[in-house]
Amino acid sequence: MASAKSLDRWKARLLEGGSTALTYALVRAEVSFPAEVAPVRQQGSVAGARAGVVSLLGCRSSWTAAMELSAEYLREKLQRDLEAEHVEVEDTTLNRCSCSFRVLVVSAKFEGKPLLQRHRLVNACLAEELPHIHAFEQKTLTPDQWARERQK
Amino acid sequence: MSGSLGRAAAALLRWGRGAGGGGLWGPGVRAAGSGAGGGGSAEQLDALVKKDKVVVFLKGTPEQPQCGFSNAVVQILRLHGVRDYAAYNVLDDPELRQGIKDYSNWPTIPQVYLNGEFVGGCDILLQMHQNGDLVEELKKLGIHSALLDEKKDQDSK
Repeated sequence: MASAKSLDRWKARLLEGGSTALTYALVRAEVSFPAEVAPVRQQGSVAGARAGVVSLLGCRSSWTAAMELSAEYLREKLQRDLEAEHVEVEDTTLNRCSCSFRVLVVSAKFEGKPLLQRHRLVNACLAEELPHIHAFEQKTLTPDQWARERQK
Repeated sequence: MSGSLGRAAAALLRWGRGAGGGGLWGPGVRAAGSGAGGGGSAEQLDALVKKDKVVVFLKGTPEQPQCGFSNAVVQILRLHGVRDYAAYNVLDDPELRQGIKDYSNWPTIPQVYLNGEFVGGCDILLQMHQNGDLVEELKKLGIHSALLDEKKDQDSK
């Protein structure tokens, strides 16, 4: 519940900021709609592999139930590997045929690093999982940036 | 708020009228269509990303993006009034789809290149758009962002 509230606050703050909030909302609105279409195509292209599969266990025999791709699993991995002081993971999956996540990672490892490099760190951390994720969104902050956002 | 929304919508409509057939996406169509242009070696991809100031690899076309994130990139460029960019549909060419990921060492599509340099995917472009970096980067390429005009209009009121 605390985590959910925090996530809601994060979303609310993302929408603040005058004209950028408007354009962001426009872009976000556009993003939301086609996402309903994309999974259909994704499903079609891998129909053989995905038909009837409720979880990813059938695709990766080496995975145990404990390692099933989930928001909690991703959160723990990001927190551990990036020595993050705060991680939020939202499962944005719209149906059962594909995985979709949005993550917020707060870590001192991002200090002094440009955005592209930060995203590469997260991508490297989840290199094994990303091939199974259809849509992945991330926001990377240093502890200072996170503290400033929470003050708003 | 409603005023700004109206202006943004008007901007989008103007873009729609100005599209003028498929000519604007010529580079994308030619490259995607020809075997030599698609997928292939790092050298070929290097030439591809440096051929235009703004290059986008996406799922679908700018007119019909096939995934939400490719669409978001198209919308952001549209908001800035960027029309003359090269767009390559990776769904047309499996070799290109994997080749560009290997080339950039970036796991996802869409991917954006400015002046031959990999910038990032949808998330990064969106954050650059929000924090003003994209306007600055476009300026370096000699491209004037339409959002500057919008800002000027607001300032003059």
